[in-house]
Amino acid sequence: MKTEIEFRDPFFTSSLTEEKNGLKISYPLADGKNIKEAACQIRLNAAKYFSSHSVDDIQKVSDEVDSSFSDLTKQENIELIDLIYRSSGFSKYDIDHWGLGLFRSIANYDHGTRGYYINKAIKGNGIIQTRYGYLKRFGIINPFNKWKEPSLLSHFISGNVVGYTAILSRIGLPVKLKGSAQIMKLPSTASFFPMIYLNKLETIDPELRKTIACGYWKGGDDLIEKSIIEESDAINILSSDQAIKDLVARIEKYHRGITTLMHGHKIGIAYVSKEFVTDSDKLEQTIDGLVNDISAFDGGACYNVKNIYVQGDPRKFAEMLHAKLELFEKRISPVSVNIRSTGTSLYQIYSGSNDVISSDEKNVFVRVKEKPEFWKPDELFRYVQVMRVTDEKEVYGLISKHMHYLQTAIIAVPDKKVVPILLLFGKAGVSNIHYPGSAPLINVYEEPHDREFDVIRVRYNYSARFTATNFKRNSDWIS
Amino acid sequence: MKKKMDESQYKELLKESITAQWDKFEYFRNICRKKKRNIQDLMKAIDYEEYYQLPAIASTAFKKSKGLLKELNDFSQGGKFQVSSNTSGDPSYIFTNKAELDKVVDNYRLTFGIEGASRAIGFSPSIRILDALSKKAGYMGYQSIGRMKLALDAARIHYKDLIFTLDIDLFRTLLYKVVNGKVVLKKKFLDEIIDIISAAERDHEKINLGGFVLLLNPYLDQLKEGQFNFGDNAYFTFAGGGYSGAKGSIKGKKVNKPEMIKKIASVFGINKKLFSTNLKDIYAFTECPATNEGYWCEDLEDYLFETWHESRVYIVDPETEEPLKSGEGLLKFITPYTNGNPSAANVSVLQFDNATIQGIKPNFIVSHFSHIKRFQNASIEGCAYKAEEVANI
Repeated sequence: MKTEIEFRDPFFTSSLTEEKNGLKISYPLADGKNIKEAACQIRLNAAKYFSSHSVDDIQKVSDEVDSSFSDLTKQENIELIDLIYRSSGFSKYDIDHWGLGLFRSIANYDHGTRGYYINKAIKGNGIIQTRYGYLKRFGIINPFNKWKEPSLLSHFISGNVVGYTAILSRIGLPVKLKGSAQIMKLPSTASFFPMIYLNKLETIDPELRKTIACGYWKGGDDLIEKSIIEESDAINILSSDQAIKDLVARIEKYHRGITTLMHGHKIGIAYVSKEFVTDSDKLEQTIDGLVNDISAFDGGACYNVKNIYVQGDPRKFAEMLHAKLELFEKRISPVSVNIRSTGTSLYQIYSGSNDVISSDEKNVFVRVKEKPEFWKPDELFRYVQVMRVTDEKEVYGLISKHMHYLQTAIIAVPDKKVVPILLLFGKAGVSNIHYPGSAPLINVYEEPHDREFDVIRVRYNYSARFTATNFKRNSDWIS
Repeated sequence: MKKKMDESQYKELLKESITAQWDKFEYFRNICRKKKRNIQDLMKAIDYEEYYQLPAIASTAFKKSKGLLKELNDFSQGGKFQVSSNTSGDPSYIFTNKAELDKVVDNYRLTFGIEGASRAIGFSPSIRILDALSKKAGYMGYQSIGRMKLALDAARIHYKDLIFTLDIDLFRTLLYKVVNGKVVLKKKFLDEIIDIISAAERDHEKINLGGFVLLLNPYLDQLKEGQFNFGDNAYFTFAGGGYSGAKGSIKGKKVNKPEMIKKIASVFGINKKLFSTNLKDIYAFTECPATNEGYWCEDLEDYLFETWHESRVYIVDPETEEPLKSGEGLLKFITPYTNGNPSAANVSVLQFDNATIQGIKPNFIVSHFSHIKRFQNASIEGCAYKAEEVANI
């Protein structure tokens, strides 16, 4: 028997039905004819709602929504994980650990310090000790820039992960005074959880839900997107570079000068220093962590590690990594059936090469290269390249020419090097420096996303960038 | 005329080519080892005409982004890189010895050339453009030549009167070079095309219109039904695909093949009976020298391709690579080198195109196939790096 789920939106009333894995899901479908009308209505709703509710009250609503996903022992969430798994194909482990896992850090974060570190980083130029790590601003804040609330903020959501894409609506909630009306474009895949998130919001505060219109349309549909661009005064895009280029060209044409946040292609890196290569316990824990950082959402996320720079023998490291990746896939987090054909193709291409470690399981691929480079992978999969480097300065030299693609760096280095690497990699353009095994876990109250604090940036064009670590010393993650 | 190669000649040349490929390429030996086959097994498979047992190299392995060019090419013989037409922005590079380069040109000559026709219009970039692109594509210190350039060289050998519809606008290019360094292209005007076609019609001469459908169609859209009455004197020879509406930087409308054929017939006055002799498409790819001809088949509403006489083709399961008896699967081409000495590991190639079996022998060898389309992998949508953009950065 099929499980039927119907998601509704107050403004986009048409629907699109998708059937898979015993699920029949209807998503709201945007209609080019009523975009302007919907924009007008949510603006009115937002003006009314945000003028009659305090920032603290709204924060409480938002917390209640987030907290509802943080207890994974609740039956409701166990069922939710199964539904997300059936609709997206991602492993239950990934959905549990990285998708809903995000909400644990949001819900548990100290209320008093929310916004504190971000404000401090914007105002000051030093290295800030946050609750979990360090935060540093790079670049200058123009003192003449003014805070400006967007009346309508539109999001173009990507479909490559579960979790972060659902909480984008939090960006429009008030920071100082009032919030924004928001339009959200659902992606063609992994739309299930963003809709669940909005449904939860509706059950807790139906009036706040009415400040958001959410639906699917085919990316690039100018009939719809022209109206959205014209109506919005801020746009947040998480997508491919090609889609961003296309949208930006049309923003220039239809509504030049509006705030546009562009989160395009990213390629994650890892640096493992000799201390973590020569000590077998540390090496094992580093590789165990990297296995998670590589495998999460089958390597399709912006934070997945692709380039691994090792201060030691890359082949030995790669062989160990391959064995652990394969075991992890088999026992804990299987590759999605939706993407298995990519593994078959990669195997057909690389099974003859001495430089790519693979097996007839076709689920993980590790390239080995003596001469280091900044490698741009030819496929998105559980697929990485391991290279030998002399030190972190060599890594800096390799990555600094590719700032556009930088976001997450995983480091396994001695304690004394954590801050120097924050400065070095931050200068190169890395945004999030994490310990092995934590690439997917962004701490929204003290870490930027893709060098930005989106929640501030849509209101305040600060023209600087930020880098944060999610640990201070190795004892924070290593036993 | 295609020279028939009998099975024993094919076997001998294939044995020679496979033995040389085995000796030269560790990559090939590794693949064979993983499929539990040694060189004796391969020779036995050839003796028994079970060519499908020869492991294939995926054609995409030759793409620049894969980083395998040193493992897959042998530079010990003189030659050049054959380079694909850059459709995806990530071209394939196949080092090709002189004898094989000549063979590719000869294969195209046999397929493009229409007996008794000396006039042709190539709806394609000119040789001048392709020369420049070939020069630019040089790699690892070796010269390169575009596969399309080889095709046009072949057409030039056959046709005395050959014009191309896309060329460099020399004057404006010189002018713009100073300003922005860009090359300016010019397309032939419709009237020029009509004049050439009309002259052939008036003189009762055969004419071949060939090249990319995407470059022909904008002209075809502007021609009227009944504009010409060629009978059996007009021939169409398409190549390079592009039916999806895109061929590299050439963009157009998605092509509905039956509608296009209908339009061609009505504009040029070609009888339905002639569709299976005068309207053809060529299916070829850089990783293989074969140039398979497909004539329009009304029943299939598609071209019916005949396997190139010097290749053995299988349609295989995408996952297991086992040969299929019917239906749709990936194309596997086995084509020996003309001198028996491969300069790349491409004697047996798995091409990531789907096709449907239309004619098959009891030993799985496919004689005819149709409905070729690009094999698509599921891809991840989002903000992670997309591989297809590798060469555009």
